Amino acid sequence: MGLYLGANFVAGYRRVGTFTAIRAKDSDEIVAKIGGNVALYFCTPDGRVLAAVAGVASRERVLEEARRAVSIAERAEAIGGDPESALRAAAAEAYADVDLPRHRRHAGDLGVDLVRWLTAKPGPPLEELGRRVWEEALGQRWSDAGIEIRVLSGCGPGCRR
Amino acid sequence: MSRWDLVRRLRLVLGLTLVLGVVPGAASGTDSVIPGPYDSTHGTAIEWADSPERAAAAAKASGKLLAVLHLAGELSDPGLT
Repeated sequence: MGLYLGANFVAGYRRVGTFTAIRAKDSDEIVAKIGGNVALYFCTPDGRVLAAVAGVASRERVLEEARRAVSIAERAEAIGGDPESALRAAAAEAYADVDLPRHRRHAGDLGVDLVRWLTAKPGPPLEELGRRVWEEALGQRWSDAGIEIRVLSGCGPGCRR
Repeated sequence: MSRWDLVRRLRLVLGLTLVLGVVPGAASGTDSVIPGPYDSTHGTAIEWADSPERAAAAAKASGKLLAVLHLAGELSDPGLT
C-alpha cells in the first residue's frame, strides 16, 4: 500500500484536535490517552476531497478509498472541459455506484456518512468537510490547542508500595 | 537511542500501522523497522510533509494527488500521537 500511496499522493498532516495524555509520576512515559481520533482525506492538489476514511481503519479500507480517489481524478481528466465541473461529475458518478448496505458492512456507519456527504456535495473543500467529519462524525472538538498532559498521582496500576 | 525512545517509536509504528495500514520498510523493501530520529516517514512507508499546504505545493509540482491526515496529537512526537 505504501508504494501505491507514494506513487499517487503527496502526504501531509495537520493537528486539528487534542487529547489528554496521562503521564507517570516519575517518568516521561505516557501511560494512557483519553480522546483523540484520525481522519484521512484523498484530495486534488488544491484541496477538493475525492475520498476519505474517518477513524481507525484497516489498510484495505485506506487502499480502497485511495484507489477511488485516483479513479475519480482519472475520470475527471477523461471528461475534460471545465475542471471543476468535470471533477463534480466524476465524483458523482463514482459515489452513485456505491452499494451502501455492502459499504456499511466493511466501512461502518462513518463510511456510509462520508459517502452520503460526498454524494450530496461531490468534491467539497477539505476545510469544510474536514471540520464536519471531525466534529459531527467523530465527535471531536476542532482545536489546535496543545495536548493536555496530566501527571498520574500515586504510583499507578500494578504498583505495590 | 534510549530505551524510552525505542519504546515510543515502536508505539508510533504500531499506531500508524493500525491507522494507515502501512508497515515500515514493507514498501521500500528494506529491513528497517525503527525509523531514524528525524524520519519524515514517522515510521510509515510514505513521507509526510508537516503541513497540508506544503504537501499541496509538492503535489501540484509533481502532478500527484494530495493525502491529508487530520489527527489529535503530534505526528512528530511518538509519545503524543
